[in-house]
Amino acid sequence: MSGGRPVNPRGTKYEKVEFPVFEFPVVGKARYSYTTGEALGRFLAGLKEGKILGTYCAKCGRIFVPPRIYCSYCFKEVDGWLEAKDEGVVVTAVMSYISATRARLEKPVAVGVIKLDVPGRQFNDHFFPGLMHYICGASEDDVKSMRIFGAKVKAKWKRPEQRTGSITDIECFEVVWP
Amino acid sequence: MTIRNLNFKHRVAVVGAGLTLFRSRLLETPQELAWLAAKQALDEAGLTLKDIDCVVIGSAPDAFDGVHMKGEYLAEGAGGVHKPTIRVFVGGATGVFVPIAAWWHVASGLCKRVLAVAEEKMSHAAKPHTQYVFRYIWDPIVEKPLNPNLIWIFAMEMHRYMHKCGVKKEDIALVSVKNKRNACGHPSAQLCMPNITVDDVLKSEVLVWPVQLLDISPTSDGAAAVVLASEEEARRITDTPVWIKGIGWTLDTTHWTNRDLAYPEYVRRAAEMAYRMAGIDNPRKQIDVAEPYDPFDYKELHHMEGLGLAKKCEAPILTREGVTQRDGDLPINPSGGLLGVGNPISAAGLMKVAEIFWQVRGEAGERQVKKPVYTGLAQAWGDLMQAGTVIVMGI
Amino acid sequence: MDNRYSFKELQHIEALRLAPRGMAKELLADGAFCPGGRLPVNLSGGALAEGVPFEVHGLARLSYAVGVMRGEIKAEVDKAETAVVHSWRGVPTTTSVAAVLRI
Repeated sequence: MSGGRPVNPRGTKYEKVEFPVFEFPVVGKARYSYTTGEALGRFLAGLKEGKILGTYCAKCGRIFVPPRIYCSYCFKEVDGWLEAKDEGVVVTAVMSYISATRARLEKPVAVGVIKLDVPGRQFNDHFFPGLMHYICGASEDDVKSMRIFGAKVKAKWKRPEQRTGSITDIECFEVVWP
Repeated sequence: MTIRNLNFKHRVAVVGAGLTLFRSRLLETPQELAWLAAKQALDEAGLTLKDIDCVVIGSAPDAFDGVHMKGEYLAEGAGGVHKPTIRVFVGGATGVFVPIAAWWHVASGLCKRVLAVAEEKMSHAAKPHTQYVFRYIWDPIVEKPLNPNLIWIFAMEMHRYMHKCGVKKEDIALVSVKNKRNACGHPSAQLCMPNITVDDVLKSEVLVWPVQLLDISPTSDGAAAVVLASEEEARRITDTPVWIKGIGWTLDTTHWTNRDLAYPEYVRRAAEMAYRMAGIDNPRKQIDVAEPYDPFDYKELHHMEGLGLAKKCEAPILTREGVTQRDGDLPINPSGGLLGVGNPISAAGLMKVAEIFWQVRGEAGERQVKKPVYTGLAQAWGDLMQAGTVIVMGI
Repeated sequence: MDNRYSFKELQHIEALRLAPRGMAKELLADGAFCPGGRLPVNLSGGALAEGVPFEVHGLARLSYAVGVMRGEIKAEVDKAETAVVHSWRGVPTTTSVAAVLRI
């Protein structure tokens, strides 16, 4: 590699070597307590009741799900709350074979982004009320063939007594095949 | 949104660059890595630390190195002791943001010679897996309870892009093949795979369909550094300073479930900002070589379109036709990119800046692209798929 | 200036050369740094009174100084034409930023 930069880059590669010489393990357990704020607080309370709530800005017409109390584009307070339907279409979906810790899953799961319906409103591709969630009723082939794109889905809620006011009060969005 | 009538005191040039090896696990501590890269950059510029007025440090989430206040921690390895030093951070976009911030220092007249260093050690976040650290990137309230793996989000973006533009996995895999082969010409490269084929990529482990193992860049340790100088100083230091012609950066919302994933709007805006400053109105013709950020193979295509180097959905066609090879009309990632050289989050972007620097000077050795290089571009991307940083350099 | 810990205020006063080294405590006892004194320091009370949301507080002190200099904030100070605002961070102190404001 004559004349090529970088010349002799330095660094020492190593394979895993036992502590204590080359690795020093530090284990800590920090737990966080996140505030939900006004908007998400109400959103979660809505989920407990089986509703998907959102906010809207009258100036630019945007609808926010998940809701915020400000419109980040007009930079003013939102003008009110509304209820989105718990159904919509799949904007994108994937099939996961690994868990959050990169372990192989026994059964792969489908997840995706769902564009939610709001009565009387149409949304383009650039901005829409949408949530990431699990998608059930879709096979590996449905995802790989892209049949799932644009499919209609409806939320599958946990039973009221099982809900805690969390995004997991919805088990998944179930595909409504024609 | 864009800068008009930009008025600044001094033209700024890059006069030296340095890199360490990029490997999945390096023995050196973060400060030592920063020191190795910084020393090489200074040596190339023929300068010592005494000549440097100010230092800019870039390092992405503290969670990887596992040390809070990374800027301060790295300062002594990066030459920042007893000097005006700052740390900047925009996730993966940091690597290109570091020279942007360094540009401010010099263009304003405040500093004459600036050392810019980026470093990352992803191997520190070893258990259970480096990916697990990324769980703090999600919205804690509406996303984390679903136990997501970060690859979901890239898979979703990739699949949306494939769907909207009608792109097949085979076309996307060509990028991985190109870059992992290109990397064989790079002395720092972690993953030189001279014989890799599209078939290899398509047969690799499926993580989150459509993302497979060989579609992704590796996690790495590494550091990079560049030296910037004002016009007067630059001409004294070297015969071939590489001028910074344009810079741009933009952030999009973290509410990624509300926007279209098929097109990187934030990259387009950052590029527009940089192009306006550089006086470029036809990037496809006026940029000779580009290093867009490629942590995943589909991202190279995605970013090419955001940068205006290809029309929407046209990037896979250019790739298939060989236009983006080193001997093509628009070489893309001649360094081997993140896919081949490695991905120590912030250092990766600066590695690309260094590559453009060497390409413009004709010093890229085996990787030197065939066509003459006057203007080059490096771009990085970061945070929760929302930050775009762009730098245009040339002679 | 940052007075997250009370001794820091004295340390910073001396480092900013607003008092000769070692003399800050005498001047403090004399009332030099109090409202109405020769060189009022932290008229807002600083971190000790206002609290410390880390990165926010430096900017809050800067806005306060601007407010005093413009007369928008009532404060016991004879002249308000030049101010110095300072912040620090690191364990125990690794970096500092100082700004001088002038009307």
